Amino acid sequence: MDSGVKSKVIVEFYGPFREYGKSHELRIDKAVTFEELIELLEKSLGVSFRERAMKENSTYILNSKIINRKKIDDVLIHPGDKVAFALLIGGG
Amino acid sequence: MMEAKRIIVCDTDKCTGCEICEYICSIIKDKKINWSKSRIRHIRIEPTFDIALSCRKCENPLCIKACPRDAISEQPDGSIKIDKDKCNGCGWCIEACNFGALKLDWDKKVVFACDFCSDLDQPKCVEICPFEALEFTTLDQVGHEAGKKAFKRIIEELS
Amino acid sequence: MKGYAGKFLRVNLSTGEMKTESLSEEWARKFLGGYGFVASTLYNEIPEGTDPLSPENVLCLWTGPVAGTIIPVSSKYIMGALSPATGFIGFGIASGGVGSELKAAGFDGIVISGKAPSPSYLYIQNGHAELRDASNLWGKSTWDTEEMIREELSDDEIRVSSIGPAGELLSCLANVTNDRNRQVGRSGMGAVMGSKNLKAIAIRGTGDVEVANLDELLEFCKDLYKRCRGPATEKYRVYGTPANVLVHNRLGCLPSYNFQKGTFEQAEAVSGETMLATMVKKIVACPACPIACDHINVVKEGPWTGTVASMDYESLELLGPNCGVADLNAITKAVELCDKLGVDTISAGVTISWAMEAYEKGLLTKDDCDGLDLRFGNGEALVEAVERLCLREGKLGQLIADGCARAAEKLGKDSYKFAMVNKKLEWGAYSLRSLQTATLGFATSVRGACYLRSGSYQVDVKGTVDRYHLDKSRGKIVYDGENLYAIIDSLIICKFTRGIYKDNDELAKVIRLVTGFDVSAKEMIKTGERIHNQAKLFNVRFGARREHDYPPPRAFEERMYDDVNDGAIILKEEYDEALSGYYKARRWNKEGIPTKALLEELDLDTSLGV
Repeated sequence: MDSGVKSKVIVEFYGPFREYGKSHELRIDKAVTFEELIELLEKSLGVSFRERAMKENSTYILNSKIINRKKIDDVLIHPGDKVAFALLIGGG
Repeated sequence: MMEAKRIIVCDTDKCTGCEICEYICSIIKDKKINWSKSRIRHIRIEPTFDIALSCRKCENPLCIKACPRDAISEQPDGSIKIDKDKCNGCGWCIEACNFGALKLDWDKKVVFACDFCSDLDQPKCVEICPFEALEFTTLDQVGHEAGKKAFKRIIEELS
Repeated sequence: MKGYAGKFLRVNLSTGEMKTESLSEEWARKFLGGYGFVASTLYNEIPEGTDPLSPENVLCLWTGPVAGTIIPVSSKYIMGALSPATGFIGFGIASGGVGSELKAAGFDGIVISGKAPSPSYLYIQNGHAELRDASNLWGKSTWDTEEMIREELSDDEIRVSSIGPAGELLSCLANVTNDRNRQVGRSGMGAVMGSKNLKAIAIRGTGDVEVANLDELLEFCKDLYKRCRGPATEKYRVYGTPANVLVHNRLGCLPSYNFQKGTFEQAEAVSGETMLATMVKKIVACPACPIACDHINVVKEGPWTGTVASMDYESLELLGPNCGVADLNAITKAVELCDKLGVDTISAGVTISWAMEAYEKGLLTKDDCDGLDLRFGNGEALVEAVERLCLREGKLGQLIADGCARAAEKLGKDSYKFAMVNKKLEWGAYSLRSLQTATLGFATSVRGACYLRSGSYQVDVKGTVDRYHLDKSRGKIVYDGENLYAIIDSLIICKFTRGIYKDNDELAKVIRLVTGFDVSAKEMIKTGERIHNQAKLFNVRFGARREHDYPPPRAFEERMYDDVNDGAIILKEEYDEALSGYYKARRWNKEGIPTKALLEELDLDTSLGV
């Protein structure tokens, strides 16, 4: 990995989050909490992003794992991570 | 001057064909579930067209003209009323109606049609439609809203 | 007894004899409806050794107590029989208007035996039934059959369940279609109809549907409708089930290339998001459904312009990424062919992905495939192969028409190792090695690989458990899921509404308001357990043992590598332990046979217990 990738977090948007594009890159130089991530995204994408993200049926995926909302305060996002915002999924 | 007639207008983009209007109608009017006795009728043209239709409150209603027994009369709000004692279920009114808004009761052999839940603020089907596809409104208002929508689109394109 | 019509129709197709029998309240309380009625009917009426495609097989169609009411998405019905695909219990649940129409026609169900002397269809109207000639319908697609019956009887409001040519040709993959887009999909119920010369069941009812407490039901349903428009169903309403594609891809559980991988490099092209933006013409609902999930795709360009198909995640995934195909137009055409010709899209997708893998491995030549270049990702070949499969045409059609398990038996050369089946039924669109609790649920399912019996994928996807490992505690998760889902499938309501009920007591309230039975949540779940055991007992009669509750060899023998997974595999010893844990939770023995004590407690026949 080059140093550029190491200082980036790639955020992907699915479902209703597509109104903010397919993906978004954030530059961070140290690990951030989930709340800090939302703040950073809110700054670039607007207040509506926080509202949509905080809805009860929103789901967050860190790398390849769904984040347990109950343990969200313990989550740290590191440079190089991939985050996705999506709708709560069920069967199909 | 008379108050403008209000009818049930269906937004065909929003109507999904769930037929909940039909279920609700039979519950409110007959106190039982029987969608075949609904005063509003869902029509689907495959694969992608849905509409719910009820009485359109026409001027000089053809159903009234067609009835040989003078069983149908126009009400002040424009809806029609069927005199159950006079009606013998011949069904000429059903044939005459351009919208299929009248129905024959299979058991009682009399015709029935939407009364727009005249004892309520608005028809119950309009209140409950989960897709907000039904509106109890005047044709004038429908026209106004269509104009507004078109104008908004032009404004957006110009700006 | 409210909720139920209180009667069912018994039809002997061999003699043409038809009679109406009453539904006993004791039986209704014990088995509730739908799935419960199917399990009990088949157990009571199909003896050991019956050939699934013989006149002796019994085909039944049942509704549940909520059919025809205003409970959200309650218009469903179930069809069941001994499955020609699995040799065990076969059944499928379909939405659309058939279930509610049958209730309004005065029947809770239909039990059909024998074989009609010539192609026939059954027409039911308000308490009356007749068998009619279907020779002009034989060979017709399901869509044409519906229309032709309505025209023949001059009644646009008739609901029709019919089979396509695949059912007539006795394909193990044949399904039953109603309202064009709704299917009794899995386990070959279409072949059972075909074997009985029964092309269709047509129904028209104008009667009342009575419930125990209409006023309270209306108030409750008004609330439920609002919830159905809320966050719990947003996914289904807006994107439909294909919203799963990108999420599953990110989680590494989106099967691709015949389940060799759990990610697909072109997932974006076949996502629910892309589909909504480019293909969806209209979103429609089933009767009494306040959600509306049915996304109708129309192909706008290319060789398949004008093709119309209702698109769900399973169909899209298994005929798409799992065949390496990223062309939504080709996938839509493949689904339309399956729907019209009468084949289950899940089984068709997995069977063709098997053939593609066999072709790429050199086990099938181009000549074996009637000249088709059947490599992964070839959308045109996919469409051609689907048509051959449905019509049993050419060398390829002959080979794959009955699914990949039977095709692998014919082909040999160890090709069974990548036939993705359980109990010979093709796997749903959930990756085995990266969703291991799901795999346990699929493999223990009574009707073969099935995602709808317990919803056990949910704990994996949500991260409640370590989805890359198994342990004995997973059995209880599958057990709990199965008991609840047995109730949902017996009522019958749509599983997409499961999120709108606050708890099991609200579900029991549905039963109370509709039937008047004073049932608690706990009693309801016990009924679910009884129903599931009744289905299992039927399978035990037909030889189901522990060996039938395993996933295909690929799960244990090949590590999965893709963009997310780095060598995921199911450890055999972990699976064994989890399976034993499941049997223990169920109070079954090591071979998966219910104990006599359990059967006595559930008030079921104990003769097959141990």
